[in-house]
Amino acid sequence: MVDIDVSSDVKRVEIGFLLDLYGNILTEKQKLSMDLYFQQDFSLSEIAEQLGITRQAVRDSLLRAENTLYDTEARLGLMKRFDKIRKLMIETYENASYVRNYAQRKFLAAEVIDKLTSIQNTAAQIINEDNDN
Amino acid sequence: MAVKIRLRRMGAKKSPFYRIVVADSRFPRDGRFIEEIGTYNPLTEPSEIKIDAEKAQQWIKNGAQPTDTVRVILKKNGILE
Repeated sequence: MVDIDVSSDVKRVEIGFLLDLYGNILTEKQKLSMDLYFQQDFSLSEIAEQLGITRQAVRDSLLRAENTLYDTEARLGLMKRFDKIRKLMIETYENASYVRNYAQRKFLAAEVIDKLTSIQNTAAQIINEDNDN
Repeated sequence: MAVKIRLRRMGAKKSPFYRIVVADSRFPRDGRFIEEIGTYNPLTEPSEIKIDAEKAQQWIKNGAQPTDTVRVILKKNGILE
């Protein structure tokens, strides 16, 4: 099994993201196989048994699904975009936190501290945007 | 009726972490498992693994089969030689 590589964390995490974003483009069977293989750590034979198809069919299905996901990302680029937004928001959160601590130490107006807290909360919401659906 | 030790993805979208669970290999993916023996966070660098070594070794001694992925994790942590 050289071509479907789950050995690296990077691959597993990446496929997980792509499934979150584009999973619904896949057929039900592909989606199920991908979930079992990449998220639930099932082997090809175990998936074959569960779905009542051959091991080779599972493998083909996984490869096709993987291609579909990467192809879709190449065209839409949502993962790349979310990644960028997330990184910028983490930076924003940290900057706001820094300034807020400063404002607190210097006993600056409560409104300033409130606003900074609010910026932090907004950033946190965007960083964890995935938690609410 | 094999018992497996495998990863199971948990956690929010785009911020996944995994549980290391002991589960009956026949159990479909209805979330049931026999016991959780650890967690695994691939997003940190290096990836962060918390595992009850004693339990893992006990389960393996009793014939539980770790998946290839879990085997690698156990080896990395010196739980399997």
